[in-house]
Amino acid sequence: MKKILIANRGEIAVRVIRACRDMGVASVAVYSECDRAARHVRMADEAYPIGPNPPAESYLRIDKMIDVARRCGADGVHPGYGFLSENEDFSAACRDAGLTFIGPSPEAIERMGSKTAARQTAVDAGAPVVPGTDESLGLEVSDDRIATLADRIGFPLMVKAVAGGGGKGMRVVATPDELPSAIRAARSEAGASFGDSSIFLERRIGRARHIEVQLLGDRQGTVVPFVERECSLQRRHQKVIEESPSAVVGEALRARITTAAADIARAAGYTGAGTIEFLLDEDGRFYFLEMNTRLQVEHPITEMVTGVDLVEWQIRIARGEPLTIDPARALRPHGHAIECRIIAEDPDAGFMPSPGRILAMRVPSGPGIRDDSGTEAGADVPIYYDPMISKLVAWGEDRRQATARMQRALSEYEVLGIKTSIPFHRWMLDQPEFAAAQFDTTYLDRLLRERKGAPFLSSSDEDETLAAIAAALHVVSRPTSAPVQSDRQTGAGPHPSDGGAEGIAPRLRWRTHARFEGLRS
Amino acid sequence: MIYEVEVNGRLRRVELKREGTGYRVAVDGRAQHVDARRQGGIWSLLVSDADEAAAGTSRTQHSYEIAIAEEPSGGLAVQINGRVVRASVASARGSWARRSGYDTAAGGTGPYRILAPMPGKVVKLLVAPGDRVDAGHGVIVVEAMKMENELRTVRAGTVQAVRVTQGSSVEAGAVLVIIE
Repeated sequence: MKKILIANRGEIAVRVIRACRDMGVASVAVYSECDRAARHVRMADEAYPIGPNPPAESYLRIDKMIDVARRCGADGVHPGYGFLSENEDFSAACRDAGLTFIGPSPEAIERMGSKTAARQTAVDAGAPVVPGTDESLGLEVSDDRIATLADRIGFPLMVKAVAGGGGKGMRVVATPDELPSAIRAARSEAGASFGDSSIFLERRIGRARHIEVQLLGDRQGTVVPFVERECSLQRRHQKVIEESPSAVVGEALRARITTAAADIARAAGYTGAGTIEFLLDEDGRFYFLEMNTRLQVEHPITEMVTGVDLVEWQIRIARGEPLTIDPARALRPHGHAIECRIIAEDPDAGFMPSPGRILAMRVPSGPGIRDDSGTEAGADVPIYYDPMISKLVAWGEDRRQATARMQRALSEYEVLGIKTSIPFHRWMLDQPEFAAAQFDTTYLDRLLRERKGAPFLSSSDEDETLAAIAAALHVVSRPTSAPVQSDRQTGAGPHPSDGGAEGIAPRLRWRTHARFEGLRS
Repeated sequence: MIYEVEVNGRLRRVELKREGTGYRVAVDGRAQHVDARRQGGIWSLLVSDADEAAAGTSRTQHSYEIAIAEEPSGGLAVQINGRVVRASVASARGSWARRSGYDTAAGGTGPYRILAPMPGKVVKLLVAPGDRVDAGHGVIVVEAMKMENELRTVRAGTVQAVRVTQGSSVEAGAVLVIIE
């Protein structure tokens, strides 16, 4: 593989381009109209337009991706995550066009992408699954029949979309009388989001944690599972903070859960990078939940604690190389890693997305810090795509040090112009439950409800005083542009010898002036 | 120089006076000595006790890093100690210092324009063409960032033109009134 087309944008496109560069492979970016000057475009060796801003007209267009790959002579295609990454038609279209899809086969994607087929695969592999219906319940299955199945499983239970993901088409049902409306809601949401209104039922596991196992599978049949990731801190089924290893998974449990994950991947004939998600109940029992047939957003924390470059391995596996990673090394965490998803949203306004221009941005660095970002100062966060702007990862010798480093890095992170989730993350890491690692998948939503929208970070009186001083100084030293000109004409503008601002102001104004004169001549 | 700075919706009075290599800064009457340096959008503030600094016996200098960006809406985004606060600056004599510098031009001559310092709405016109005005006379009230802000004259003169009407919306930098 000599040239790889990255069928994605944002931070993950940047991440893949970096791996390409590390390996001496040429990279090809694609872009929608608003992404013309985006960071992934500038970093890539080649870049091609694929259409208007809405994803359905650009980043989700299989035909355009294949067309660009053919035209530029790419021989590999990396789908990133999101967009076309779990689309078996895309994997098949690449294969048909003679391109190497850097991911699993269309058959594996299809099998593990269907919740019921994936569940059956897990059962066949001998892995525990959450008690529930084994078959997909299409529209032809009556509510009465579903009610009978529900009684057998027991309440509370979950109604889930077969084609679901990200919490869409999912309802919690506490009592039998809530069932009909939950079925209706899940079906209509699933139909609208995935074009498939089939559902299934699953027992609700109380106080469960979300534990997932990253794995790599090569084309020779070797599957290597990695030390688990803990992703229980979720807001509305969206992960907000992930860490590895989990504070509640000991060596014995790790051996069992990673073995189960590898067995499922083998049963699915899985190749490339993938992740198997489990629910872990209070008694230490785990249940297969689903498989993500792609690279995960949170893959860097696994890289930090194992030292393995997962994206580079994706490419090597796609090239046909056998896995040479020592399985024991993949399972033994070196230190602890935490990831915060930095999102363009306003946590103090109900986490409303906050698109717009980033006026200033400075990312943290220093011991143990990694920032995977796809943007920078001067760039716009478009309204069309996922509002995640970066993934901040902190590594430490242990969980305490990783947490302290993450707190330090979050306080160093400077983003002006848009709102970000940083205040929320700083608050979250300060919670005693986080320090004690006492949380389950419902913890955060419960906590947020109890807070009733209280601000996450209120500025102190001292901060506000200093802000007032700095703002006044900023205005004093402001290198004015147009007003300088109009002031010259009217004689009413700031004068170099004005009261008190000498030292800063005149020099800056002279420079601005010189620039201004230069431009006009 | 005196500025009124609105920070997180609260109005603070900031008085800057040159002192040594820095400033004696009084915020709402409470004085501190501030040594300030700017590097692009980043400020370094070294803050010490005002009386000790005046006597040349400063012991503790607290160091702060503050990032400032100008927002298209006209305000300032100020990041301090990892927190972002919103600020807008007006001089104590009523006119916003941003984009205008009116407070510093007392010695000038000739006609001058009063500009809208940020996008807003004209709430009230206090003068009409032909009116004689003294220095510091209120000419127009603009509502912006949920505050009513009175813009005043820099020098005495005659109102030559009023370019806006009551109730109209104005962009930042729009010419509101011309005085000569």
